[in-house]
Amino acid sequence: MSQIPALIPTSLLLAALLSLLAGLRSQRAGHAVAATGIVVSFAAALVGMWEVVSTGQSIRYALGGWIPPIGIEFVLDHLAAYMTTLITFIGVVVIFYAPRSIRFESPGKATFTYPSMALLLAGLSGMALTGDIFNLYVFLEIAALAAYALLAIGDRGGPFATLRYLLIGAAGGGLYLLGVGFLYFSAGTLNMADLSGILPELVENRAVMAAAALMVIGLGLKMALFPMHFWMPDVYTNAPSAVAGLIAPIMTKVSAYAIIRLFLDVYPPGFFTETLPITATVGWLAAGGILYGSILAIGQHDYRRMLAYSSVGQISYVGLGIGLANPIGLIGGLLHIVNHALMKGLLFLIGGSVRLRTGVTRIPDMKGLGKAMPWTMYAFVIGALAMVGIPPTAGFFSKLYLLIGAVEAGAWVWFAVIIASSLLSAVYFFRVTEMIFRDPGSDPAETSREQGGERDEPTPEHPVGEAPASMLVPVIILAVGVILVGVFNFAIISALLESVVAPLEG
Amino acid sequence: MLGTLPPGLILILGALVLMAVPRAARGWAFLAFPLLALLQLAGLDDGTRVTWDFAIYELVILQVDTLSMVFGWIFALVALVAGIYALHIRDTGQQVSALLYAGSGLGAVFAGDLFTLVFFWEIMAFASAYLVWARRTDEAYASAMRYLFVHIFGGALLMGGVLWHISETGSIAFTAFEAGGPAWLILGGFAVNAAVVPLHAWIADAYPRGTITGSVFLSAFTTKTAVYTLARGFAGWEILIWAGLLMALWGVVYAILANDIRRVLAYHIVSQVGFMVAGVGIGTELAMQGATSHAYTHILYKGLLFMATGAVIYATGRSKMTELGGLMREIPWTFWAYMVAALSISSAPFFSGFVSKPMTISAAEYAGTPTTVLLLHLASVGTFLSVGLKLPYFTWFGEAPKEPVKVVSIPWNMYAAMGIGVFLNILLGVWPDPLYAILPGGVPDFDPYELKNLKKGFQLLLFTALAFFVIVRYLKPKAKIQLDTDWVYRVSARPAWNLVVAPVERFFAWSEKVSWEAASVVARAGIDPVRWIRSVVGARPVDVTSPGESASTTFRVSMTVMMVLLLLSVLVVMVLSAIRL
Amino acid sequence: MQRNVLWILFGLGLAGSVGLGVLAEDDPVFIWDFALFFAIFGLLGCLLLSYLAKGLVSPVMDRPEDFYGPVDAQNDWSTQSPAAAPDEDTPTTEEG
Repeated sequence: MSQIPALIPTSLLLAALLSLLAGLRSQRAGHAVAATGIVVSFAAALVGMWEVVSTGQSIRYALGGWIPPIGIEFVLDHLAAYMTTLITFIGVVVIFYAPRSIRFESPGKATFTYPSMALLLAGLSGMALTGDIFNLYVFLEIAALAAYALLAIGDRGGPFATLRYLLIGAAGGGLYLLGVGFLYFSAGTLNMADLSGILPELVENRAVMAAAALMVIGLGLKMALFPMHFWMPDVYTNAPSAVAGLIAPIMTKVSAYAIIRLFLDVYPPGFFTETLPITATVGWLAAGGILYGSILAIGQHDYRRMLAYSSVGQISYVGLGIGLANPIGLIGGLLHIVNHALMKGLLFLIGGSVRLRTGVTRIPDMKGLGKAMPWTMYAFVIGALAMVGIPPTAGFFSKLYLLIGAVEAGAWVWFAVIIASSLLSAVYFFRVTEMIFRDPGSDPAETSREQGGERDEPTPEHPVGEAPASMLVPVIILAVGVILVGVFNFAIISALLESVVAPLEG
Repeated sequence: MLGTLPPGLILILGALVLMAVPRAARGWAFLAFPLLALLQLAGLDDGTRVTWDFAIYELVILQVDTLSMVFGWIFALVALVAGIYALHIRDTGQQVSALLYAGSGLGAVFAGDLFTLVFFWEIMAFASAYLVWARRTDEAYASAMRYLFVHIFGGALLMGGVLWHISETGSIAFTAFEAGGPAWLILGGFAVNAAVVPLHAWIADAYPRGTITGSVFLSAFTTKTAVYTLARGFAGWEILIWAGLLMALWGVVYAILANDIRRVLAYHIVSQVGFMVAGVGIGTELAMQGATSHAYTHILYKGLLFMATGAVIYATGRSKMTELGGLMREIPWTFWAYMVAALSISSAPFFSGFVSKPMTISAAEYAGTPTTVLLLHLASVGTFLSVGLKLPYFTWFGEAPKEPVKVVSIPWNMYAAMGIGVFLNILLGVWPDPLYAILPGGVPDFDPYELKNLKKGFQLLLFTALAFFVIVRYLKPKAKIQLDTDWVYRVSARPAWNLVVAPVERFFAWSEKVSWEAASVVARAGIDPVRWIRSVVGARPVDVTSPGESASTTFRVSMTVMMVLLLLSVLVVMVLSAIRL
Repeated sequence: MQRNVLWILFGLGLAGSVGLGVLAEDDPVFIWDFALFFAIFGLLGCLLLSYLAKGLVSPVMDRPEDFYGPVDAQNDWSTQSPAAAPDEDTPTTEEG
């Protein structure tokens, strides 16, 4: 089954196109087509991961039969399998969650939402699979365009926030492309495997160095690495909940993945650490981002904005893993990609459920929801515990490995930063938790309207009650996933991640 | 009987089981687990070790030695008694958390490695925080949050120190620490839980605000677990002597001033734990035995104190001395139960405190530190003054409050629990041998009923009482609170925010504004350079319309002319080069 | 009257403890450990601590009860104690 690497993005692209056509007929059909495509891609990703793990070999697929380095190839190795499984899994969870939520928050836009979601997933999985640095840019832009479309259909502030993101994202993509250009100029090839063979001789080349810097900066912009993060809070705050649940977990992560890919597999070992202090810079910026995101999350009244700032902090954990540049630290960062995806996805989807049932998005208005929506709120508690880093949830282990990596590298400041950020996360998450479990006073929806909440707030369909099954089940799946990934993190590491960081062992 | 199952796990699993038990039976079902734990403890041999492989580490989830056993016995016992006290509770959350809390305390004292310790430490923090939160008033919610954050902070110090320690020594075993960076961090973590000044304010903040039954549990576990960990890890560290003395006196002074009856007791815990910390600091065998036996008896009498004051609150609906008074007629039995505990805490002869606290002081005498001895004695005076004299006087005697108190009857189980407490305190007081037999190092070189100890005990107490009755009016309670070290984090949040965070935010907002404005200037200029130049130079009043509007005529004409000329020239060049070729 | 009996007993106790002090005159641990030492220590210690607390610490550190923010309303024990419940029907966490 060496078709797997192509099957994943192809099924998604096809699904996007067909879903659009079907959606013109009926929303349900459009949704069904998109869901089918995403499920197929997830299945393909699982099969691919299984193959890679059991044989230990990567699966290479040359597009169109053109042999690399002339042609473009897809490579499903351990890292790519890890990423694509995550991407498609989140896609599956969200596509089933989405209909109810989108219908409520952005009525009338559903027809275009599902194809865009499939397109976004296609772009992101393509980024993870491709073995060609220019192709990476292409998929990057595909994903970005789909994301812009999805993000713009949100609340009143959505279009403007998306415009900002678009401008900044275009700049980031442009910088990356410039870097690709320099590399191509110097090395004569765009294929990653090929480059890894050629670049060791070109280490002193100025253009090659500039290329690395440009690519990392460009990807850093897309990754929302501090201080290039400022587009993120507005975007996540104004996006529809299902969209936020899709984009927040995976979009920035794939850009981080791209940096890791360049670091480990394209450039020779030591280039990112010694020749140019790229990892150190990323690490220090990440440390700043962790503190900044955590501190700013504390003062937020809007649930989604709080999660957005928290995400700035959390993506920086991955950056810190890159910065540590030792095996255990990088494993911590890589593990955090999955952990955070699950945790944040869970939290954003819960926000959507709450908004559906009560119309509120502000934290003080969530008082007493523990009684009205018990299942959703227990899932929230799991998510909160994971974000703070309490065992046996997933969040604990990635932080633990990062801490051990920091100790090994002697990076005491970063060590303190990680611990401080756990404390800070505790502050804002437990604030919400205890607000939820207080005795409810007045009707929360009424309070929100009294205080002049969002003016466009659609009125709740029903009086306050637990979320509908189509939204509750994905939430529970994610919550269970958070715990399972924590408990089985060792299996994940030994099966997938250890081979990824092998280049660092030297 | 249950093999070598750690007693802590019995309670923790019990907490999970308890969730499924129907409400009516839950109070009774609760008691089964401490009982099981006590049975289990009886069967544990010294030196038992249970390990569990986790990743690359071999965790030691049960390690039995004399020090652990002493704490283990008293923890299980107080869980049982407090469970009886709480039989009337119908709140699942409280019952489950109380078992989790007691169980994690037991787990911590039997932990043989640092990871296990940290694990139980964290569970203790959350479970105990719930017992404060369960009161469900606005003050309680806020207080529980602060409590949680302080303990998470302590846990972070502990975790950081543990990881650093492991990376330096490679060992995860929980034994005495050598001085160094990691040890100081770990000490910090332990100090938070032990309520060492200045990290002690959480006790006075949270314990009075907990539920009536919850605070009984609270008083027993957190601080004593910390004493245990200090005894194991930091015995003989001199700084603990000074820390302990500071705690002993600070606690007592604030206890004299506090108005809420449980707040008096909470500050008092700081003082008593100060004795224990100082004992650990002295580090001699007698001092350690003193600290350990003090911890043991302290749980017994502090628990009884909280039970009695809790009963007062239950009966009257009030907790402040300014609102109480003249209750002797209504609830006399509670008074007597309280006095047994109060006399114990003051080391009155024939009560449990008499056979334990003086041991520490005796050890200080042998260690040859007169200041320590005198200060500890002073703290004892203050103990009796605040807890043994002032509190009971203004609660049960003194003037009746302006608003008459409505007294309801106290449930039988609370009386039963208090009765058990009274019995145990007097029993140990007159017959300390069972306690002495299980102390680390065997029976201590100390006889509480020596004449000189009796003389000390009686003289101190009786003459303190004399002074009290003389100045009783001076000590009248006031409806005030006293500032303590928690002022730092309770008041500083807003200014810290303004100092640190706001400027960063403002900078980003400003830079964004500047970028947008620059962009819009360039955009306006680019669309119609002529008009823009005109507006800048101010040659003629031009209506500066938005960039979308049609460009000025001059511009259009000049652009057209330029384009035409350009095209013509290109054409000419092409024709010329074609002719050339 | 019961009150007076108690006071007399108290006086006897004081005297008795002084007597004990004289009786137990063995090797003093510290030079000042004489017969009445702890009696005087108790008396003076109590006065000293009381003054320290009430006279020195209290004036500096006292603050109104609502210094940090609003305090609970008058019936803040209503969930814990039937005595504080505003009316007979208020459920408490005990019975609720």
